[in-house]
Amino acid sequence: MLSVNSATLPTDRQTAVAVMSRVCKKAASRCTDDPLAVPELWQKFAVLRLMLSSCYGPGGRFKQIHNNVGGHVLTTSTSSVLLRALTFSEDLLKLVAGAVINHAARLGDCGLFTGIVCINLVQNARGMNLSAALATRVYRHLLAECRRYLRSESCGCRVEVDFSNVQTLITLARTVISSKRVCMLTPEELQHISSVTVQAFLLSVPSAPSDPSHSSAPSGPSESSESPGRRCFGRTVTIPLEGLPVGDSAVFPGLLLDLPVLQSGDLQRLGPAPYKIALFNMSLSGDLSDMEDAALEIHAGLNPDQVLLDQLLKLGEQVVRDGVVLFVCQRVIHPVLQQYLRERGLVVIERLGAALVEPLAQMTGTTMISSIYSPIPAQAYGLVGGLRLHHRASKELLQLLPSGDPALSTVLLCHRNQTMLEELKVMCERAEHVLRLTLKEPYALLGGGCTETLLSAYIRYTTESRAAEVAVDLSCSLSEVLLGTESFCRALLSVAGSLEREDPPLLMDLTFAHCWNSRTSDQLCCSCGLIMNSSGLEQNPINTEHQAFLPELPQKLDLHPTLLLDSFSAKISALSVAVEVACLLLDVKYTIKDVN
Amino acid sequence: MVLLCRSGAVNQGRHIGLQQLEAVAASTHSFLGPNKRYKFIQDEATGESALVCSCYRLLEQLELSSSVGQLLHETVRAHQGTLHSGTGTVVFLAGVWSRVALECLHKGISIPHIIAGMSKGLDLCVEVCKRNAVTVEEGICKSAVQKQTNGLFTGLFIDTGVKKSTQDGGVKSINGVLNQEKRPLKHRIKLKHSRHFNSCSAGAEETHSVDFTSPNLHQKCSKTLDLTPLAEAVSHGCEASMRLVMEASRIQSTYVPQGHSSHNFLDVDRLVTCPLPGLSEEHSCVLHGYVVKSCRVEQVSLVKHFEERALKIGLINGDLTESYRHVGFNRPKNVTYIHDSCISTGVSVEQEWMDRALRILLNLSIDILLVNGMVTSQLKSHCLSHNILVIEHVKVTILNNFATTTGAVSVSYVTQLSERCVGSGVQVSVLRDYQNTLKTESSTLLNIVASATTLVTVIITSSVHAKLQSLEDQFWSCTYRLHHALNDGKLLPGAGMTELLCIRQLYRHKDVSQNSKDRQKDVAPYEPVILQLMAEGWMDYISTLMFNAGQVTAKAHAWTHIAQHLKEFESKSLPGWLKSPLKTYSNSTNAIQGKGDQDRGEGTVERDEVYDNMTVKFEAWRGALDLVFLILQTDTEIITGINESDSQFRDVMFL
Repeated sequence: MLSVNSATLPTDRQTAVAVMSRVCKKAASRCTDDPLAVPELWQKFAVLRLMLSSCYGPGGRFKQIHNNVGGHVLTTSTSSVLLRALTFSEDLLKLVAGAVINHAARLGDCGLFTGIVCINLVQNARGMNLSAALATRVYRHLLAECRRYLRSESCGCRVEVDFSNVQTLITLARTVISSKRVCMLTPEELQHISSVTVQAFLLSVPSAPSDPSHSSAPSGPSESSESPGRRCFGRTVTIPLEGLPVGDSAVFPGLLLDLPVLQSGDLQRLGPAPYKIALFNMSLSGDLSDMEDAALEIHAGLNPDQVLLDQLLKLGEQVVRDGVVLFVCQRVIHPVLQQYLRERGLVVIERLGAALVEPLAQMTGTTMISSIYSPIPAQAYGLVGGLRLHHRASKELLQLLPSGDPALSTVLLCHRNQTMLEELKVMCERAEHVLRLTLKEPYALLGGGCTETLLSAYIRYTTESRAAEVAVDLSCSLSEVLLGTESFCRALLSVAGSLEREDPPLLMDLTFAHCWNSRTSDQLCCSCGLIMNSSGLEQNPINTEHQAFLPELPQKLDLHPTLLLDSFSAKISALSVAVEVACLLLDVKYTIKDVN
Repeated sequence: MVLLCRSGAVNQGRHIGLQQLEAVAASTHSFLGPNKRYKFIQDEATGESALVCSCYRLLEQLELSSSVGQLLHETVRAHQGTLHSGTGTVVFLAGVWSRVALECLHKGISIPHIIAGMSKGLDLCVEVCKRNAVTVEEGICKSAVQKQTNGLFTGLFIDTGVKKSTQDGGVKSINGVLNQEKRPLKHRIKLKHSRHFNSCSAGAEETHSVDFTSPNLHQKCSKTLDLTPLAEAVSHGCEASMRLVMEASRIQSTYVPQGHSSHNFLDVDRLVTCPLPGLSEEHSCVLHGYVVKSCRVEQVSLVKHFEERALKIGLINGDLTESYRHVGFNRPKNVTYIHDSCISTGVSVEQEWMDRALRILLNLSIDILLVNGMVTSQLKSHCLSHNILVIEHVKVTILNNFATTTGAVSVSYVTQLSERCVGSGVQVSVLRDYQNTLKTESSTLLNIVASATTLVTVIITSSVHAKLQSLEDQFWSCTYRLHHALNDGKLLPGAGMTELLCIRQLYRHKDVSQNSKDRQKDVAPYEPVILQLMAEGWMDYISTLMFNAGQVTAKAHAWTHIAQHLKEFESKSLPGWLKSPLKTYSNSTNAIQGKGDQDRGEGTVERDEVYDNMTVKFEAWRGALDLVFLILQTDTEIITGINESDSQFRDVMFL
């Protein structure tokens, strides 16, 4: 166990300032020269790297995060969830964490990869005594080399996503979801969730504009508002439901609402669909909350609550007159108004929440109403294609069907307990994100560490074969280029190495440069599952010296369902972010901290 | 805020989290089985203490601050929230399986292998249990036949556990006494049963008296679906509580609306419990309607005035005070009221509101007002003097029930009340029996009944105040056991039989996988070891069960016996073993009790009438294993919100 005597000086001074802010004069800023040389920071970097790499892969370990005073225990091995829950005392750590979180938010996958590679690049450069400027030059050069290779036709770790066959998509989703064991899925459950995710993704892809059925489809207001040339993704909303078996997870077109109080009797009285809907994104509770903290002077004879209620009822009157059937509010609706509307046969839904209002507005083509003081314009109303009630365990779920194109679908996710469900929700959203990225770049990378070993073998080979040339380009010595390359390749391989933590180290074959697990004695296939037979392949433990070689391409690509595939776009971006942040960290000469 | 990072890593086969889990679980071993022992929990800081008798209540009281304790509590809470029974199994197995995992780590088995092996083990168990599940019909028919010869509850393996622990397995009630007189089987004992066990399907020709003074009626046996034997089978020693459940079911089925099948009717959502201290436990009873305690003498006289009349009812879902505003209403903070000096009526807002409220109630001629929140005491008095009965703190579910059965609409403000919101057809009465017995205390029970309701109140009494909570919990777990049995349509053989099946299945599979020389061995090399350890976990379960039941004086005795028993049957390889596993177990347990007990054959026949809920059991197993896996795979505990100067955290890493 590591123990660090952290500098307590700044905190002491801070408290002093807080107590006697008027007496103390401003403390001078604290400046640290070459912060990476400070042993404590160095150690903290090592801990962070260990933490991230121990989370990596399907064998990754979980981290429990909880507050000192108690409360909910968060169990996760997902980078974005983990790093968001942490507070770092060092700015450089914050920088890395911020980069990882930001990357994961933009591209959905490879957050841990970013963090591990980044810290490894920094540590390797320092460990090998490469100067910051030199390391930066070599790293950037190698990054460009990697990107060129991955995008080239001769790339051995890339497979094309076949949109005519759903299997590749399911494989991609499965790889993402199976990479986190906190989800605790059995193989059957994993298959089910993967196909649910792909289904949700497919529903969110708009039909081609040339589709003839599209023009004849019942045109809801949502379609008329779209410009003809531009199609955008439909939305996917995820509703978690704890305590049900995973097998109950499903996709529903439209919006599914889990409402505490629902008058199912209301639904039976409704006429035929479609229904007119009014959507409010303000509070209709009849209070003065929109005044914020403004000072009010009210005449004693006046009752502001009654005045507001009268206004609300006037609104209700108009809504009833306009033939609205569904009255939805993001926040609270005054009970008197609710009663008024219900008595007139309307379905009233309150407290929808900010997250669902926007998708509902999009689906129904409604303009959200934010004022009670003016009459509602007729075009503000939207249409709902129908209402359906679903029963799951003891819960009643109301499904709002779209009237036209299903621009919105809801994924109902079920799991046995909260911890697993929370992680599953994150993973499903990430998987869908990854699937969307394939539309832009229809490729996937081999998973299971094979991309990393292959890439490192390729980089070693190309650099060695063109070392002199590269040295001139980067204006440095030959040995420095080789050292920088070694550092870069080790960082890549350390990611693959994170996959295995108990058994003997992973192996790399010297023909295809795929990653192999040394545990299975007869080695049926490599980690990603592409190379089926290891007979006649020379294998080396990764991270050991070997002759540089150009990885061969396998004779034929057999895209069987048990393959492991990673996101292409996410990994390329992750590598870029990792290199850029590592270069930035290496470049930091001083940290200056204002301690006032 | 500083963050610290503590490693709960696996050091030389020691996993701190799993050890903690095992330790917590070990403290709950006495809660397993029907003979539960109470535990006192004392808070040293406040001096308060609590009496608990279930894992759920124990964890609730303990407020464990460690992350493992928190996770265990979360798991148990979720299980209790959805299934309402079986938390003892969850905690016990979480502990036992932690030990299995620790053992595996100690043997140097890697975590992925442990997970694969234990998941396999559980799948095997679930599979064999599913194969051996008994359909409710089958179980009931069987019981119904045996009931004719032996009667109800006579030889139940288990006792209430609350009243006394029974070493001899006989229930010391009238039935038990009969049993102990060793009547031969062919003697048809005309047993007298509590009329609580009459279900209406069986008793078509019987009149169901609600009179509490005559507790016994002749039991009519019927082979049609009858809840009685089923209730018996899942009562798990809580006969008294189960009797209340049956009575509730019977009352509900008499009031079930037309068109619904009145057979096997048990609506858990329309059950209310009313704990009543001061009376002995025999006074517990079930009444149709909603029973509330009333502390005011005036209310009682008002109710007497109301009796025999159909009353009008109003429902308020909120407080009945002037200042009450609905949830989500934010009061403006910065308001000043400007007063005109000339207009001053001298009447306060409060008074004005009260007059208005009273006027509304009187105009609508409301007799009873059920309020979810509180009511201003002044208004309460006003209402009383105008003959309006106001009941506070009524749960929302009950308000809703009254809404559906009386046609009333629950509203947030009294001003919302209109003709349309008022319900009718409600009757109130004072429970006189209790009025007399409770004379020393000033509370009286009022019963509010809507004519069409299936709402039933169970009055749970105990002379020991601290036990009320446990009795209430016991009632609910009985209710849900019966409810789940009806929902599942299937039951598992109880009294440790299911676990015995699991042991056998695990051993069999272990032998198969040990002997196979094929490739499977490479894929799962440690499977036999893990299955063996899991089987030992089940052994521990059964032996704890036997130990708690008082059948053995030490767990080791039970252990050897179970092993021996299993061995015998394996060697004989009787084809019918799986078909009647219960009897063999009963015989075996009988043998443990000594040869002198052989003439207690009658009791042993009865023993197989113990069944467990299938869903509850499977969910409990799955939940416990999930928890163990979650903790097993955790290597780091991160604590946020720590002050760096805190000396308690010297040896940890700050990030």
